[in-house]
Amino acid sequence: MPLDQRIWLLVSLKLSGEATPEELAQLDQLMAQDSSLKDELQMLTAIWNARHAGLGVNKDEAWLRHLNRLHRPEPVSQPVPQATAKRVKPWQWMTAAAVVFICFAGIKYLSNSNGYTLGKQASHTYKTRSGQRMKLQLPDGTAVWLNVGSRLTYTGNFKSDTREVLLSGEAFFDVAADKNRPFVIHTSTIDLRVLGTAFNVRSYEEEKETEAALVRGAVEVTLRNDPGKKIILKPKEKIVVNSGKIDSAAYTLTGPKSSEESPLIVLSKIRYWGRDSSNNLESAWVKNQLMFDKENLESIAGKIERWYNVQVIIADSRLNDANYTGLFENEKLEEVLEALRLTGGFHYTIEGNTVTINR
Amino acid sequence: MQQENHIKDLQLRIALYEDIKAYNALYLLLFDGLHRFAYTIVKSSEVAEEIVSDAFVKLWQIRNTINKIENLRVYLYVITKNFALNHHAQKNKMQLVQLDHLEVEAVMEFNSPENLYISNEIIRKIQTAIRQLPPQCRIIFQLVKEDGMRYKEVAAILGLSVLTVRNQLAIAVRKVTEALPPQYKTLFQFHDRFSPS
Repeated sequence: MPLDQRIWLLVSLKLSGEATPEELAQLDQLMAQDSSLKDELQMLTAIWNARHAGLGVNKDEAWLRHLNRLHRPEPVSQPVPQATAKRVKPWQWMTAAAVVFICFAGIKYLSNSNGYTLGKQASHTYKTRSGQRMKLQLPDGTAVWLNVGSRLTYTGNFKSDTREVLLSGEAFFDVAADKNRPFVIHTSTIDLRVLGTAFNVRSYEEEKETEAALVRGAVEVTLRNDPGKKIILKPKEKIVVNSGKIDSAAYTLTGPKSSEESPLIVLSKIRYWGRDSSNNLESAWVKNQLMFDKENLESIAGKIERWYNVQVIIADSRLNDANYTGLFENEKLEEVLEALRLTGGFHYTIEGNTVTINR
Repeated sequence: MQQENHIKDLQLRIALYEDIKAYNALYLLLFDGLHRFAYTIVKSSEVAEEIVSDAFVKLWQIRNTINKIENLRVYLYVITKNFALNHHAQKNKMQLVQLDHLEVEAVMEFNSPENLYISNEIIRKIQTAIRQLPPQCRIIFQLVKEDGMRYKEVAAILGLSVLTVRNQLAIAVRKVTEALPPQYKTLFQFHDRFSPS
């Protein structure tokens, strides 16, 4: 090694405190040959030891911000910074009720021993009540339409390897494409793993069936109680999983209550109507369309309850025998009930928030 | 080293007792260095702070197992580096890049050393010299000088050999000295008088 390079090496070793006693001795020896060199090294050492002034961030304040991220006590009045939840103009909805969203710490949902966990990062939960729907955008650009009485939770900031959300209820996802990071949706009965795609997931606690309908892209479906079973959904297909949860007792995100039962799976085609191929029955609600597809009154009552935030009582169970099909767009509760009444030949009364259907 | 033992102590308290005070102390102890390190990659103070926060969130998630980590400070720098590179890749919509291919921002706002007057002009010259160092060289210089890292630690963080770190630092020190005005340059001229070549 040439001598000048050797000097720089020795000087840098001395400055960084990595020099061995031999190397220090060698440097001393070289400096002894030139007294001015000693001064220069002192100068350099002074510059070396001049500590950086810092980037001007108050550490204690940064710590508080960090704690907020760690156990985010969700602000009730303002949206979570990472996600922009758009307030949808009231006229876009059938109900006059403003679309609100509620954020709360969802940590309690996130850990369990037998299922998956989203980790203990700060979590964000969006919730709609009956009669409320909302559209929101996740930090990765994915658009989500959350139907009535639904809850969507995600943790962290979507910067990690996967994008994972928990869904209870019904949502339509238009997932931002990202080849490297799959988008995973957990429901009580199925997990869906997607790349970039648009599809509808319906998994209400009080309903017996979970369904996922794919508009475009590809989705891999895994059953929660049979993880070995994977089903690939192709565009325009839909899957309905009957979890056998007749009893809709308090459902938790830790997994289906009746995990010993094997769900009944039906794979079918998405149904379209009209000329526009984008009109599929499964995600009609995204366009403010309330849709019944060969459904009995019990199923319809559930939809109406959530859509209009009312309670529907079917006084006579024999009414459940008939099936109804219909599409309603921006129509009032009375108009929907009237149309059903004309078809089904029953009577109904509306008192406050309660609809009673009788023969 | 004193700081090393202090970190070991905090590490143990976090792992065994989930001691939030120890966690806080560790955060305050390492914030400046980690923040500066992240800043060199993401070039935004706010984003750098978020990245440090993410690294500490991660640490808290795995707190029960951290007593197995040999060098916690190095570990945190590695996580910070990965988060920062991820962020950089996402922002620029490209594959993960290596540090040495990245335009990094060196943070070298020298204060004039006490008991020694260095004009602003010289400080500016030193800063310029540092800015002109190759990215990897700059980060090595920063980690050793500002964060007081051992070569071994810098090598572990950046995925380099100790020898590379050692040589790169010698280059950095040389370039910085070259930026000094002539009266300080004896060291630089040294080889003219003593080198046999």
